[in-house]
Amino acid sequence: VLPESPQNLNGLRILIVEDDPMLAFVFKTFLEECGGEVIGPANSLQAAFALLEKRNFDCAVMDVRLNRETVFALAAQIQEIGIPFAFVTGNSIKTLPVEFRDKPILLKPVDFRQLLSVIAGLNTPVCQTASAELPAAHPL
Amino acid sequence: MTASQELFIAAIGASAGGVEALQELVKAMPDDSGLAIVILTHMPANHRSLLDSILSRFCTIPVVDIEDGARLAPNTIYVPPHGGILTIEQGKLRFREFDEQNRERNPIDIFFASLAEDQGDRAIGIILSGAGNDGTLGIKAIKQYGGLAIAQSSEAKAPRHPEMPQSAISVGVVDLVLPVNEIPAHLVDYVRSYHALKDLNEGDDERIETNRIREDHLSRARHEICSILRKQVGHDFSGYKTRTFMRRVQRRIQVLQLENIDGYLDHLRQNTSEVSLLFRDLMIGVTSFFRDRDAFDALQNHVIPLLFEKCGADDTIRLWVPGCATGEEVYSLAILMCEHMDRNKIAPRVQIFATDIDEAALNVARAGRYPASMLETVSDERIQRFFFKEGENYVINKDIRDVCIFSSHSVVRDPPFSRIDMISCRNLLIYLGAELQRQLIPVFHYALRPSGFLFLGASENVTQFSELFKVVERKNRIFQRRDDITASVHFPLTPGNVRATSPAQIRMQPALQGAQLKQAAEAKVMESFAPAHVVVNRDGDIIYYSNRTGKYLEPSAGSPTRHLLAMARKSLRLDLRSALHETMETRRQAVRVHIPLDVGDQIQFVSISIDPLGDSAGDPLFLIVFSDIGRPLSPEEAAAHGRLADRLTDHTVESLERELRDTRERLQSIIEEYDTALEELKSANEEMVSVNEELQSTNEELETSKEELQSVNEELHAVNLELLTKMEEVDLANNDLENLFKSTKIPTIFLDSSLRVRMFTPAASEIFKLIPSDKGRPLTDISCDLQYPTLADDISVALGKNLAIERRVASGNGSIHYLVCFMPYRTSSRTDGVIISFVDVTTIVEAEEHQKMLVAELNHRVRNMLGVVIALGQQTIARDCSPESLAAFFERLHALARTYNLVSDENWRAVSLRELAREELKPYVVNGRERFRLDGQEISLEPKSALAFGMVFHELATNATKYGAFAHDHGWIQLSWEVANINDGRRLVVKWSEHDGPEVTAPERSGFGSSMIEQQIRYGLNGDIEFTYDKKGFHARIETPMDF
Repeated sequence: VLPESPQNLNGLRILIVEDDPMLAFVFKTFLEECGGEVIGPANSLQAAFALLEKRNFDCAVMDVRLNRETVFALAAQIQEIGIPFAFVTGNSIKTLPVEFRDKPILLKPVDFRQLLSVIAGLNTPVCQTASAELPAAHPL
Repeated sequence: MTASQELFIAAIGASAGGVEALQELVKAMPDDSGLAIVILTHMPANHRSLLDSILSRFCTIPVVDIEDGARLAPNTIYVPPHGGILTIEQGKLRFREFDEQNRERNPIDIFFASLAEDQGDRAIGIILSGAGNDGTLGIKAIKQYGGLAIAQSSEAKAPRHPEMPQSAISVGVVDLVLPVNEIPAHLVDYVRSYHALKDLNEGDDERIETNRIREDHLSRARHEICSILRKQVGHDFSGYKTRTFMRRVQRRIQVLQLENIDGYLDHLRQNTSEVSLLFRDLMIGVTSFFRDRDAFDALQNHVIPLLFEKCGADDTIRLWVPGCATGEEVYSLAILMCEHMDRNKIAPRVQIFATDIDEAALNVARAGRYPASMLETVSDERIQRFFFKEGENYVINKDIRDVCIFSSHSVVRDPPFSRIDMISCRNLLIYLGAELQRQLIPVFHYALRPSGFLFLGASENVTQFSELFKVVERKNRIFQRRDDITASVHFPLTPGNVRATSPAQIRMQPALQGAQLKQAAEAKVMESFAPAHVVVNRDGDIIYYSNRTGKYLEPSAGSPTRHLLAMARKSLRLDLRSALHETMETRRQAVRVHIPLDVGDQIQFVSISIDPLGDSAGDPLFLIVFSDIGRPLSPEEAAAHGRLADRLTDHTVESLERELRDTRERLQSIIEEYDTALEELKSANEEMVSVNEELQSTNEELETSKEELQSVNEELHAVNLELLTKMEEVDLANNDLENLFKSTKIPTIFLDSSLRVRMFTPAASEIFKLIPSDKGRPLTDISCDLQYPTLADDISVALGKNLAIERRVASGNGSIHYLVCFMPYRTSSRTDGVIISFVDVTTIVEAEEHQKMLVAELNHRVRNMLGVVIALGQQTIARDCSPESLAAFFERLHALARTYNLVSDENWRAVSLRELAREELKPYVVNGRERFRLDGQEISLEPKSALAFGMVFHELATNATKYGAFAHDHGWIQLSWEVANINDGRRLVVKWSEHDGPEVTAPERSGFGSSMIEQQIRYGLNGDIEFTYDKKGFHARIETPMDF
């Protein structure tokens, strides 16, 4: 069951970093249906760094684990540039390095409504931390 | 006879140093000796003996603890489990605990004596190393009952403490003195020969009855033995009881390990020493209490009253018992004396001097402690009155003991006692031989007071000396001193004469020849023509008369005497006296002439010459020659010589007066000296007596403490030995620990309470820079290869709070992980340090991390999978809830599940492409006919690729069912693949071709299925996919890199 009125993302450019093709495909399909523009998705750290060169996105949603790597090196660079981002992970918040503990986190399997609100939050500075306080939504 | 009656019991007494000897003995003991062996030691009551375990290491014979009531079995060794009193009754052991107060000082004596009584000649007593004299009386009892006595020899391998065997040997009853390792062999032979010779002493056995010849043979042998004994020792045994006699003979045969009695007879004829040994054996047992009851009765009734007859309370009656051995005879006499005093209410002082040359025997006698079985010959009344019971022993009471003075003294070498009222010397003379006997009897005569008594053994006599002693009771060998004669005694008797004169050493009278012949002839001439002469000794006693001395000598009135001056005719006496005196003093010839001698009515002038004879310094002799001068003259003619005679007489008187004066003066001074000496002697004597009494009481105290010390010492010895054994075990355990330390790979460090290193295992030096000399240094001073700053704190906590602590610590470079355990080092009462051990848990830590990683991976996959499922659901059915899309959704899930199945079957490793395709296309097998062909080499796919290809095959097959080859009954699909080099990379090319299906038209827009396939290949695998909608059939070409 999808959100009843998909939020209009107004062509917001979102970098997706996700190694699972199905999930990447689903994210891409969903966010495009909601009016966003998906950059990538990148299935590896290498691919993501390549996309970072162009800096043609407004925010990023990144899976923590990419095959055998973690995404933190990328996250550090994106943070430096000042682009907002959120993590997607199957593990708990404790697995994050301390410096990223204040970032919004989406637990797999991802609830699409939450995905939308996190993305919205990323681009509304006031609401940047609100996503962390959302009640943990159950997946569908 | 039953087997149990046949059983020989060897009792072994051992004490200090005995364990060693016992080990040797049991080592040499064969398994089938047929003996029951009972071992006796001195052990404290409350100490568990380890002897059984010690001995069983050295032999295969079963070693069992003694239990009360146990019946002895052959080929078994019995040891006491702890100290206690062991006896035997009718073949059953009796084991009791010690009394609280009275510890037994001689358990060996007690068991030996009871064994002797119970088992008779089947008892064997063996004395091994030990201090003191326990076992001596016991072995005597065994011998008395006909058993065998063995002592450990001091030669070869000497016992560590030879006192015990020495003491047993000294009482003269030990049959065999052997090194300990030879004892078992002798025992076995002894038992075997016993059975072989059994019929020797069984005169009433029926078999003998039927075998009269043998009986005659034995009887003849007996007579021959008796005659040999009679000839050589002068004692007639033919009146002895046959059974007793033959039993002793049999034991000699066994000891010598001879085959039969004939062999023994040969041996006896050839060895005079064997005669003495047999004689001794036959005489055994005469030294028990009141042995020869008749003789003691006679003493009691006839002699002792006489001793007391003229005694007042101030007098002393002195008795002497030379050769007292272990003291039974002494105490018997003392008892008789005491009884007499009790009856007659007179109490003179009684002293019994008991002497022996053997200190060991004297020590037994001094103790006055005898096992009950040795008092059989003492009446209950006397036991009650004169003994008190101390455990299994009877001890002579103090009244009797005080009367007896034991001292080491040799009748042969040392000067005798004097003023003795009675000498009891039983069965000593028989050991001494004729020569020494001849010397001893005068000594006894000297030692006795006038009318004193001499009490001898049944086989001894003084008939040769009837001039010294008269017979009081011939049968009981009681004699009385004759006072009318003075035996000349010169003592000490020369040591050269002291030897155990064997009867065989009687010298033969040599035959006359050569020089002797000449002597004989000369003697004959002398007899006829020489002047009359006599030889006197220094006392003036005539010891030799020539012929025809009657003219000059005549017997004097009164008791007979041999004294020259008493016998000389009156007119010769003066001149003889002065001449003899002169010669004795000057050692030169003295001559007196013209001495008138009345011969009937005529007068004969005589000359006397006296010469010293020989030069024997000890006992000078003098020759006195009488010769007549001219013929006998008538008194008138003699008167013609008157003037000369008067002159001579005047001269004689003058010299006599002078001599008399001298003699008086000398006598006076001698009397004075004598008085002074007497005074001195008296006071010295009094001092001596008081000193002696003090010494005696001190000696008794010392004796008692010595015995106590000795028994304590024995126990200490036993305990010490066991401690040694334990020490060995501890050593072994220590070695084990040491080796464990060395071999263990677990670093362990022992710290004392001030955190100093007490000990560490070699492995510990891999962590701490420890070297052996670091023992004693604080551990915190020693550098270590650990990331562990709180080490000192943890040690303090473990020590202070007495808590076990565990920490996980990594080595300096983090490559090794340890589990560090702090255990308080607990002694029985307190905590005395800390033990730190380091267990290498690196593999565990790594495994844990690996596991953590696996869990995270699993988490990731599960959540991804859920995400995929959700995504699939959203894409397939979220906006279209028709049954068809629902079915498609489930089909997809099943396809996914099949692929996962394969992947998980292969443990998330490579999956065969062929297998994968077969699995995904399985639902499309119709009526057993496969509608697809698989064509390609064997290729393995990684899980990620496998999952992607699984999806692809499923979507393509679904599509084919709806629109393609599978929609038609005849359609089929070819799936082929190959690996090709394209653009510098190895790539997998998979082709999907549909044949014989309905006509194909390209779809207007791509569906969800194809989007998903493209996503999987392009995005997931960085590959490429293209679809061709040929009219004849649909084709798909997939190309992915081989190396992801």
